Amino acid sequence: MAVAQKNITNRLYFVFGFIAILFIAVLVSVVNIQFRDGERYRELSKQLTVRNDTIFANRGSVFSSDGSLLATSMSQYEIRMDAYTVKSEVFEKNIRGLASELSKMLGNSTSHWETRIKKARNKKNRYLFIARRLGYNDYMKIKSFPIFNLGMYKGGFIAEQSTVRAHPLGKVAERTIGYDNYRGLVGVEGAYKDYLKGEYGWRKKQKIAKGQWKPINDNNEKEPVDGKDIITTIDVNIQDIAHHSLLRQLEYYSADHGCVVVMEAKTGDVKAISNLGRTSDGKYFEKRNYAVYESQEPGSAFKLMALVAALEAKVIDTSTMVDTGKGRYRMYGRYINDSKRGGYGEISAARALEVSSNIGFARLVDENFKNKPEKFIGILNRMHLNSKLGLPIKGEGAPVIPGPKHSLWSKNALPSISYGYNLKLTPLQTLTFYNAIANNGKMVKPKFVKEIKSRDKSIEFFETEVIDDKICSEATVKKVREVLKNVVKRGTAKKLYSENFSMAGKTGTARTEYGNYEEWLKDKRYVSSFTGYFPAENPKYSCMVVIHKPHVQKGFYGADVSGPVFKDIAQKIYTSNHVVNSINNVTPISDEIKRNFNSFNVISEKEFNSIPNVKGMALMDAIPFLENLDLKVEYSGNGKVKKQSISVGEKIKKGAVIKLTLG
Amino acid sequence: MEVARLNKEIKELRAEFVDTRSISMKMKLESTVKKNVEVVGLKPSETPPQVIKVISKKR
Repeated sequence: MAVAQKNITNRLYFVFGFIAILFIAVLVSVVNIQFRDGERYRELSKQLTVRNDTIFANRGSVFSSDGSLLATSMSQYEIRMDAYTVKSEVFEKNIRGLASELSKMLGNSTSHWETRIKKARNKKNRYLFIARRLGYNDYMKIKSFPIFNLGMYKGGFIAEQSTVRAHPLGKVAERTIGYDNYRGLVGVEGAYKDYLKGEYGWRKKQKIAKGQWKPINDNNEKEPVDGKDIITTIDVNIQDIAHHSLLRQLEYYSADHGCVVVMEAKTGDVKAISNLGRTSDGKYFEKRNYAVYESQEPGSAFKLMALVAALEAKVIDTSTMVDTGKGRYRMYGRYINDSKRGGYGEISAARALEVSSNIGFARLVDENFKNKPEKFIGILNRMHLNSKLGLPIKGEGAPVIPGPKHSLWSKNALPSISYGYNLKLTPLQTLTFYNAIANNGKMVKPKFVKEIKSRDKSIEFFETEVIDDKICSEATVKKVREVLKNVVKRGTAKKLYSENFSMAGKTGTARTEYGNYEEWLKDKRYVSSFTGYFPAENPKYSCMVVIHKPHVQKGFYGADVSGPVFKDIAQKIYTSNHVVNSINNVTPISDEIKRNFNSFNVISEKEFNSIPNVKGMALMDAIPFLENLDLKVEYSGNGKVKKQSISVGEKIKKGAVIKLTLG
Repeated sequence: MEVARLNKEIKELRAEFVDTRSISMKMKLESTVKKNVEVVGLKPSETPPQVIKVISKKR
């Protein structure tokens, strides 16, 4: 018996011990959770029930100089339909109406929409796609269609809003306005992203149910700050003309790509910039910012720089004669050709630029600088031709002007450079030089953005940056401006000449991709350009047009391919500014006019109580006269009044119609 | 709630503004106008408008 008792006691101790250990373990755990890991768990619980909610700031917009929107964030809608939720009597009654409205708005036939929606209803599709990328106005319109106007639950109307970057003017200047997204930082949007972005705000929210959060405080912890707006220098009207004119030329010549830039001479404001590249199906769109990135051999456009350098070195004058012979000249074992068969013979340096003689320039420069080429290159470099402009927009191509120690240097380098080969410049760099000539030798940096605004408040204003106050002497500027004017008057660009308005500039027809000369001869490829400014006196704008690889059979000369774009822009700007003609008072005063005037006064100042006689009066006298008597006048014919429908002496009824017959 | 509603309204008004503005801007563009009036036989002038200013002597 005692043995059995002891056994029970032992078991009891065992159970008790077990419970005690369990209890201690629990206690330790509690202490651990409470104190050792407490911090972490409390944090975790907060995270699960309270969260920081980001409030996105509105990105700033990009405007043109006259306040048109170029890029902005806006809502877009994708429309879908819950085809199953609509009640059958409503559905049957209105489906035709809905389908016909949809076909009117989105294309496709009424029956197409009808069968599509009916099919979806049979399949119990609650998420039938209708349309995407609709603007607000279209969204409001589609919302008012039959069935859809019943709303989400009864009408099955589903609209999903998203915010997108929109360009109200479409693809115009797309590469320059740019974007800032997964594709990189492009154009103005990329360069000024810090201004546009704004600052995100945030607020604390607490979980109240699954998936539902409510703000804890009335105020945001941090208010979002909307992005700043950027006012560019682009002028929408000039941009429009430039874009469409370039497009027309590219299409006509089936060219590979091209660009046009218009700059205001004094400020360097880029008024228009368009870059169009050809796609495989022959359409054109803003592919790359050629004006900014594409450094290439400028060809004849560079003759201006060569002439300026030679004039500055005082080794020649515009009247210096040079023998261009019969249009073919051998220099250091290589032939240089002029475009005119038979050559230009002996001409002046000025004429060599007007007719764009390669031989003329090669000889003038080589003969004067072959013993001191570093001097010629030095002047070019001093005029900043070998340095980047330092644009805010990414991807500017680096210019290359080889000096005597450069790997591209050879005996032929100097004459080649004189007519624009064996060196590289981007279109914008070339234009900046021409603009400096137009601006009396003052070189300014091309400017894309003029102001940063927050709502209506100006935050930052961008002044024109001057690269060099004087790249060359005034005398040189004067001389070359005269020559550039004559290029249009009687030189390579005389086709562009207009009596009404003046332009000055230089054509360029450069060979490109001629590495394999034999192959090039079979398939000739050119870059046609026109660079210049207008008006020729007191220039206001400079402009460069470059077109790559026009279809050679249709033409390839700078004046034919690129020139017309330049002219269109110059003409547009000319015609949109009125001309004021002042004349001194030349009102002829004749006795007859005086007499007629007086006699009219006599009649009109009399008071009439009855219908007067207007027979024999001119219509322009009769109308005010009768209308002053509260009559309404109708008339037919030309000349003086022959008949009047209410006879003389009748009583005047206010508002009565009197018909006049003229003859 | 009120804030959310107003925010939504702002968004909608903004969308309406931008959308309307872009439509009107496209219509205003010279190239669009040119296309539309071509059927009537109108085209842009090749010479600028002339303002005739008469300087009259004071009597």
